[in-house]
Amino acid sequence: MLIHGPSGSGKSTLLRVLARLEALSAGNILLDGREATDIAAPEYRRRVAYLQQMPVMTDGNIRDNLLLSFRYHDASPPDDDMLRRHLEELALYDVVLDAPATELSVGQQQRLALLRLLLMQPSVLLLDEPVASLDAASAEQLMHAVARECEARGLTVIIVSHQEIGVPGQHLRRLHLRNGRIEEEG
Amino acid sequence: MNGALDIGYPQLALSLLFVLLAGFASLRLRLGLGRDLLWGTLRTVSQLALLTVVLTWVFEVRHWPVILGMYALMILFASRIIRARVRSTTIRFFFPTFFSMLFSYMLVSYVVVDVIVEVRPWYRPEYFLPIGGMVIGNSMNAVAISIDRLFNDLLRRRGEVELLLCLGADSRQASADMFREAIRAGMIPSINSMMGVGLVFIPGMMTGQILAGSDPLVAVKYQIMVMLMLVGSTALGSVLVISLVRRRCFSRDHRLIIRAVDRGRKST
Repeated sequence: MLIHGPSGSGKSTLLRVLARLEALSAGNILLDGREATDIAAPEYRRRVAYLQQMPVMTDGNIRDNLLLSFRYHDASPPDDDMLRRHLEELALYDVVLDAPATELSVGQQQRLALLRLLLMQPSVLLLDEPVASLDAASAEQLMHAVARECEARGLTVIIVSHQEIGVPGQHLRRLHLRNGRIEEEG
Repeated sequence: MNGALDIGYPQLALSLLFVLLAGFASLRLRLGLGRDLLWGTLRTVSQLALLTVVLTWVFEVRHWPVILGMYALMILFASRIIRARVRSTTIRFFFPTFFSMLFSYMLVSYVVVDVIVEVRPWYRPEYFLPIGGMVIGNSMNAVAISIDRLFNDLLRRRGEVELLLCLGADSRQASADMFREAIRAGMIPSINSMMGVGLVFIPGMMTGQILAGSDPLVAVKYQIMVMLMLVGSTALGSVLVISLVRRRCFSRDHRLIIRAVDRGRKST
């Protein structure tokens, strides 16, 4: 699902509400038919993964950054070979896992941040202006990766963007948001 | 020894010359401090004169609830000063600050007078209140620094906190770094003063005791106890206050709800 709209129309707020980073003022959020508030927020956020507009990398190396979520739940983290394979799927080749994550370009960091979320195996992916800070080539790589993941894992993806972006894939819905209301759907 | 030499009132008045000197400098160098100097001098004289009356009355009191009440009042004033010093945000912290300081500082002061100095009865005001005052006065700064640091870090590093929340951390896990940094920031000054004491400065309490005719060894023993007590009360107070205040920065469902308020810093 792609949500468009001018600045200030409430796109990012809507996404933050869905990620439960902002309070819901009215209505409710259902996840697989279940009231979101019945699910503990940390567990909910693992299932409904939210990608920040600007990628945030912590001080550690690339491996630490990718495996951050494994600090907070009991799954066993993937090994280095697996991580490299995942990185290559996102067109990140020859990445040194021990290198500081902050040395990567913004485009690379954005894909790293996406992989970090995918490793939690979420069922919904929320992307806030995912390509706003990327050049055309990086944007295309990122959107292709998202489309592929979407197909392969049956992920629901909700993308917010102020600009038209090419999203490959067949089951695309579009919403247009203005002043906090949905104006058109197509 | 029979206490310090008394100062006659005419001689005390002579010390006004020091203020006049500062006033002269202010006039000549156009520092614009004249009014503040005058007001400051008046307040110093009148507040301390009032304190003589209060202390004379307080030291007669032999009821522990009255003494603890006065101690609570001192902590109330300290909480107000802290509130004015910390940057304005949407988070209210007056009551958590007040109650955690009340609990931790009373505990430390009680242990000091009853177990270490062995004052009998433990609530003798001439021991309990000055020692309590030192605890509050020093640890108050630590608490103010800690809260300010916590708020600043949570606002400045919002992206990082929300990243960790999005990766399945709860509010405590997501703010663990900021929590540690806030308490460290509050504790560093009292640890630094442990390093410098006796080398860089002679603490006021010890100076006072020596002037009042105490054996320097006794004064030193008191000072050691005071320094250690201050580190303990600072740690205990800051940990409690920051734990409670941090909880208020998040909602029940682990959302970071602190927001900056654009009023700048209030003055005391």
